Amino acid sequence: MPNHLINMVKKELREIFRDPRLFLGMIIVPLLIFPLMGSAIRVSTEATKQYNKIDTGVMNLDTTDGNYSLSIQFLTILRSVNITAVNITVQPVDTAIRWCIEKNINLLIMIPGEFTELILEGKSSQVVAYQVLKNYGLLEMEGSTQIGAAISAFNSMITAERLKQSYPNSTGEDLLTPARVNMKSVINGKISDVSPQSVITTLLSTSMSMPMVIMILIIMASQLAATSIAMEKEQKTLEVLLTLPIKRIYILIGKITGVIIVSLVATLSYIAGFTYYMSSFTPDPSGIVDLEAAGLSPDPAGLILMMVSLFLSFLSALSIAILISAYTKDVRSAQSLVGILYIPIMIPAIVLMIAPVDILPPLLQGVIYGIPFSYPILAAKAIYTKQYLIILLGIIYELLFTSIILLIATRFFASEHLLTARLEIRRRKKETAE
Amino acid sequence: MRPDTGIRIENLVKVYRGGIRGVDGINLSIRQGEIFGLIGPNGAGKSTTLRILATLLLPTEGRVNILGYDVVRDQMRVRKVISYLPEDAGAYENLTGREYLEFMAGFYEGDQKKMIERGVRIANLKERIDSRIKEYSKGMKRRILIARALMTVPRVAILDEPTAGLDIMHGQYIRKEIKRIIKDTGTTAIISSHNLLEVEYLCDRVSLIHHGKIIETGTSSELKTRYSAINLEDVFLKVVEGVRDAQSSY
Repeated sequence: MPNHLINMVKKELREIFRDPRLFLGMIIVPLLIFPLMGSAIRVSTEATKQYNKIDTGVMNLDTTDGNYSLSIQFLTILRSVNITAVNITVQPVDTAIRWCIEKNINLLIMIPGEFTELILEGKSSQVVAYQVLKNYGLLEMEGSTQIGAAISAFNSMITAERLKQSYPNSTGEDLLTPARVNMKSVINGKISDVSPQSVITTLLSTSMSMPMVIMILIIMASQLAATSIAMEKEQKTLEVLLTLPIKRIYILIGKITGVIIVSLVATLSYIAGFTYYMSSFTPDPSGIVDLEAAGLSPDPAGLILMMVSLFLSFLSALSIAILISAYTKDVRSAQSLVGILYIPIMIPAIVLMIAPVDILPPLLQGVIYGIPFSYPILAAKAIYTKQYLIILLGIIYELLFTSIILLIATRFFASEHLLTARLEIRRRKKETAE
Repeated sequence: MRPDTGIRIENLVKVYRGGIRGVDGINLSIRQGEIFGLIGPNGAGKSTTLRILATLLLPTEGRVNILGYDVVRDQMRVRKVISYLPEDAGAYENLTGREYLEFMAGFYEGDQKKMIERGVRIANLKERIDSRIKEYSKGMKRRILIARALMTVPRVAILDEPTAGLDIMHGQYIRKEIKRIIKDTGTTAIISSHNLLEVEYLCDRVSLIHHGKIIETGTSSELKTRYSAINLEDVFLKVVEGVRDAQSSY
């Protein structure tokens, strides 16, 4: 009777959406927490940008005439890396540092007197930088990083100029990097201009985030399913429900359907919050690869297969969660007991985030292939590489596993054990006490 | 089985895991339209018997028929004709009283709108029928549960301590409603209660159950005459003490 099923699902949804603990925890909190985290990151990033415009005191002791002075060229490079040079005439260094602290300048660079002279003679000269440490935070390392970059650029410039004297027709870039490699990727038999490193990095970032999302989703839904049946016991509504003219399988499916609908809403809430959170980071454009252009986009058939795999994983996890929670007397015990289920959910997610399944030791491979929750994670990567066989085999395995679990759950729901399982445990305890 | 038999229990035994005998060879026959009372001390086997009738527990031995349907083989048919109210039942806290009645009515054939209207009238919660059940007092919860059990006009009502938790006024109101609905509709009812005045008021016949066995059955007046008792409470005490004396002398 589908009407009975609809009636059951409607009740489940009303119960869950009106429960402030569940509604706040699963839907509202992700919508608040992620944007709050994102805003905090934006504020910190802005603060960092302000800090990046570093005022630096410069004690230029180089005595070479302005036109030939290499220190002047060095200062020009410093400005290009966002350092504002403030000329300091006071001496010695101790006095200059005190002057900088008074003026709230935290970095002092001292260019030695023979700077140009030594370099032109083919020797090295040492610039000394003094960082005033106040907060001992990571940002106080920024000055030395930028000076390092400036020195590196200055050295390349000098080296290129020296080499040009021997090779007047060459460019500085050619002289500095006489041999280069242009890495291309061959994807599904087609040559792509994108480097394999970029392709793999982008693909890994996708296949690493997907297991996390799937893991969170299944854990969340299992908690909800366990809560749903335990709530019937805690509120003492189960006995009446089981005497109504509705098939027990509909009660089970009604509960699972309600949980899946709420989980989908919660997922959308997570995605919305998480997308905002991720937009807080400024991505490095050089590291992003258009997987579609590189021939690595999943096609609709692959996406459908992955969704089927994910759905079956959901079904089996929810059925197990309901079975486990049927042995508990209240919501709290159900939520604790269902924690057992997190182990098989987390193992494949964590392992497959780090390494592909085929390089794992045989025993671990067996464990991964034996856990049904591994397959949506394997599918998440396989849809990019078009390895549909593993997805199909996974679906067959999941189908078998889920059918067995659903059969056990249905049998359990149809038996008196749903009601007496806990009572029997309690009775046994009593007997032992007597 | 006679055609007018509503409930028939033959040699009913329920042994729980661990060997505890919840019910130990009960035989009962209840006529259609009869209100039958089941009284006995705590742990006597009243609730176990009612749970077996309600298809929640399976008998270890014996047979139970409700309107000709076997509670083991024809569970779904039995569920269509019964309405069961457990002693310590609860209701969905996040639904309103009306939504709860709507949800329950949704599983029965017939005019569901009428069922809900009847339920609202029996519960007599006035405007509070549209408040969430978690805001109800214990008595209000019990009233909505009784309304749920009776609104479908079941052919067999199985009521375990129907007025437990109700104050005197509401208890009396509900007792009258139970009697009126059951008598008006010809419903067969089996009621378990510790309130022996209630049993005397509601029930046509009564059985005394002790240690999982029926030890007396009859109308209230028959039992009172048999034990020279002034009321059912007196009968109950004399019967239970009699059993105890017999056991100790043995």
